[in-house]
Amino acid sequence: MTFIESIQQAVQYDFILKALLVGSLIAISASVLGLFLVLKKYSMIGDGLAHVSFATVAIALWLSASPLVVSIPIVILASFFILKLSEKASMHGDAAISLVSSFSIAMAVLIASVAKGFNVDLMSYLFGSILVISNFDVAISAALSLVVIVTVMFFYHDLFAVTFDEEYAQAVGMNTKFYNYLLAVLTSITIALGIRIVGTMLISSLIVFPTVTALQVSKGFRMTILIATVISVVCVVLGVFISFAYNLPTGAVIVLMNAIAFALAFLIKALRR
Amino acid sequence: MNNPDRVNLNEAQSISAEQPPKSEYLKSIILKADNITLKYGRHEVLTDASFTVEAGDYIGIVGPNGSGKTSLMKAMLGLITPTGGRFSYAGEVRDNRFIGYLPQKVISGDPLFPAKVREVVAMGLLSSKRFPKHLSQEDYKKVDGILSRLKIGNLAEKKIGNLSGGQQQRVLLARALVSSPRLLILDEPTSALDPKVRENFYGILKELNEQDGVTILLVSHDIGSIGQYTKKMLYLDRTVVFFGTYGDFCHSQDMTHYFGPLSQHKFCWQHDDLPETATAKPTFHFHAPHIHVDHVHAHGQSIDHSHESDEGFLEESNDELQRVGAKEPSARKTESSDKEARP
Amino acid sequence: MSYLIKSRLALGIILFTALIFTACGTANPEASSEVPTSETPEVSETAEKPQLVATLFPQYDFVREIAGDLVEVSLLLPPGVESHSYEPTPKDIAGITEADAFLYTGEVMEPWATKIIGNLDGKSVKIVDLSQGITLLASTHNEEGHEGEEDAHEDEEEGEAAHEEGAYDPHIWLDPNNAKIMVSTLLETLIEIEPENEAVFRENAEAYLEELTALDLAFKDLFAKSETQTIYYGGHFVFGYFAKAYGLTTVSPYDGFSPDAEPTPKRIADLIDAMDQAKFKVIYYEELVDPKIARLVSQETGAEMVLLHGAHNLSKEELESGTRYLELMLQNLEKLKLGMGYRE
Repeated sequence: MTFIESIQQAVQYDFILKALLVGSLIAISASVLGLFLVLKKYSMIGDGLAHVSFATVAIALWLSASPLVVSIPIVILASFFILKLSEKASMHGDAAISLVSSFSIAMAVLIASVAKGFNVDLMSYLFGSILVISNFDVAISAALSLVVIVTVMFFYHDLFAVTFDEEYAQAVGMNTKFYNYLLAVLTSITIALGIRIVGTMLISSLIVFPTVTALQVSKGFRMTILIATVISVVCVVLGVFISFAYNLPTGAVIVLMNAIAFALAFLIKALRR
Repeated sequence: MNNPDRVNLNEAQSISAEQPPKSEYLKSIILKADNITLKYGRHEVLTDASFTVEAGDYIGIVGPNGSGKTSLMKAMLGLITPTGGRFSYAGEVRDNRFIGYLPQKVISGDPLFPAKVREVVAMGLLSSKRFPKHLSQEDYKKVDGILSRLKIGNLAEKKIGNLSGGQQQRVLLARALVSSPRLLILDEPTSALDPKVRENFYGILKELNEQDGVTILLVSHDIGSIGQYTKKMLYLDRTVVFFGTYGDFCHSQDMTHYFGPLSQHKFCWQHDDLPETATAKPTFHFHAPHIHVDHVHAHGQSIDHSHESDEGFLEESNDELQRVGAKEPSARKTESSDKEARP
Repeated sequence: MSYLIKSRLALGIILFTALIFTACGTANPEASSEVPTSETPEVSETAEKPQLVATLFPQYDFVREIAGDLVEVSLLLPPGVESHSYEPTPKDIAGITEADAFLYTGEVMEPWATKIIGNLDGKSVKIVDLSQGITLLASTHNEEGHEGEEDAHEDEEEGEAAHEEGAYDPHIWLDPNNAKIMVSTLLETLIEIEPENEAVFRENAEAYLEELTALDLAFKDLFAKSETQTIYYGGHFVFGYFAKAYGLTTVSPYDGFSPDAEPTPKRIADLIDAMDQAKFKVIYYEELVDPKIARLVSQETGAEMVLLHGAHNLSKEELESGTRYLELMLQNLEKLKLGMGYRE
């Protein structure tokens, strides 16, 4: 069967359609935030907060609570903690993230062994289950993406200013602290929701990959975000279809698509010279 | 941003009693510093600094490293709060909206940063906007306007990281200027530029000061050359050592004591062969002003001196000036308004 | 207090709290319940009773059937825990070395057991591999490289050696005939440990074997009278031996024998298609794991979700109520009637 035919076949299934929709929504949220994070040298925050999120899921399962309800507040707090650490405790963003990240993994392991009983369900958060999405997840992801996109739109110029030249922004009276924390909150929400669907491993790459790809070829700030978003969505869609057609695990294929996109962008950049 | 120490000068009932007598050149006061003390950690970097900035001033802020220049500037911008004293701002400058700021670093240090020149300059308009901030066509027209004024209109669509140091500096200057500020604060703007570019840059500043009446405060470590461009000097060394015109500086015996006659001579730029730069020098009157410098750092004593010994010197330099061609009085400040504000 | 001190204090508090949790966790109330738990019991004062440690529920249950109160048997796997990703704690291992017998399902099911065995030289504990005498089925599924996913459970950075599960199906106990062999092996072991009670053991074992035979016949009867011979399963591939014994086909989207591996979209789609074609819309799911795939299939095809218990391990409630292997299998029998179109 040709690729086109398998696409036609794939879209007949509800679960595929949901995967496409939700995957794209998460991809959009992640890439909208991605540029700000990468330029502020917080690229590892996706990974770091994903680990925190993972630990919170462990806690939630242990307490038989909803992982989402437990996750979001704790991840937000963790992101604030990371910010505070880099401000006050004489370390840069990357070290602060590393600290929080490894601590969280350790906690997750501790809790998993103490609580003894939900390893498989917990493991599914490691790799996500983009194929097994409930209607609740669809609704939540849609809401999340809307919130992220609208917020970034409204605060676009300020976020740009704070990212480009924080000292200047502060000097001309902008509340840079607020914007940094705003970014932290949006990122936390995206990650806490994202790991349910694309897993801990993948959410970080969704934040970073499309952005660095776009940076290869773009000049302007706004343009970079747009390109990143498009690339991200395309990779998710292609990833789903290709994994369907060739019987491969979806998450990994999506990351692979992103890698290919990057290689292409890099080529384009090299050829332009 | 909302520094409680900032007081609207126009509202304040009591402006200091030492208000300069009215003259034809009464200028409005843009910024007044009263006994500003600044601490950095436990370190007091600036003690009891007082001075008055008038509209149209072009002041070079100089001093050795660690003298408190950068801290003072940050305090003026509201980035740090003085531990003592306060600033008073003229109403229009109060909310940061009409202060243009050119920071020291050339660029955020990131050549990768994907920002077009136009986007960077547009940043300068943001502080005057309320939520939700939106940049209109008109705003972008302003951006284009300032870009062409600074002769970098052709760079509008270029990525900032791809520009040369001098070009980047001009872009940042455009950013500082795009909101048509009344007060411009620049921090070591030319330390990384080569001489020709530097000349160019100062030419623009001069234009802004003289044609547009923008008040300029220029922080520089290069006391040797700063006198070439600015009209007044604020010399800091943990406190105010001197504030006034270069002419005053030259005639101050305190300064002779402090710097030694050779340096004093060099710093005050009283004789320079280039006619253009002669415009930076003040005119001289026969009655040189009293200059009281409190807390003279080197000597620890207030000096009050008469001017008889100066007169001969004055006349001599006056003649020299006239030969070189002093600029019209309209751009000059009168002596009376040059009085240093007393605490 | 400076921020540096504050953040360190915060970190300290968190770590301290974590330690508290750990302490509470290990001193969990389950230890005090009547039901034997993951804690290997200390040698009690009354005991001269032999102590046996069983890794999985089936052998645990069989020992109870054969020996009743005459021995103390503990189940290594804590209740509710999924068996494939289980790793023994140091305490568990200590318990094993002190026991009279260690009963494990086989190298394929518990690869970690072979590692422990290496360290048991010179100890008196009897090591019983319950897969002996049983023909292992090779994997009929494509074994993908999902070892990486399994190993990632405790520590992502660690790259442990792959499970051999990819090669053989470990779920031997689900074929009653294999269960009979396991029972026989256990009988021999028990006699060795406690020769005095040989007669009792033999009697119980006989009785139990008869029950297992009856079970076998019941299943044969079921499938003889059923319309279809296919089980649609949303879980990982558990019923290989069962299917072989009774000539059934199972359709499952998972490739390996472990529940961690994520199925590919194609396989899910295949399962959905197959269910659409099936005459009886019943999708079975496995115990102790959130039945996501089954739910998905149910949503897309309207099939009914029904539990088919794989008997690896029990939930706390099941364990406390003394559920037996036989009961589970009989429940499975009833459930299968639903999905196979059984006619009396």
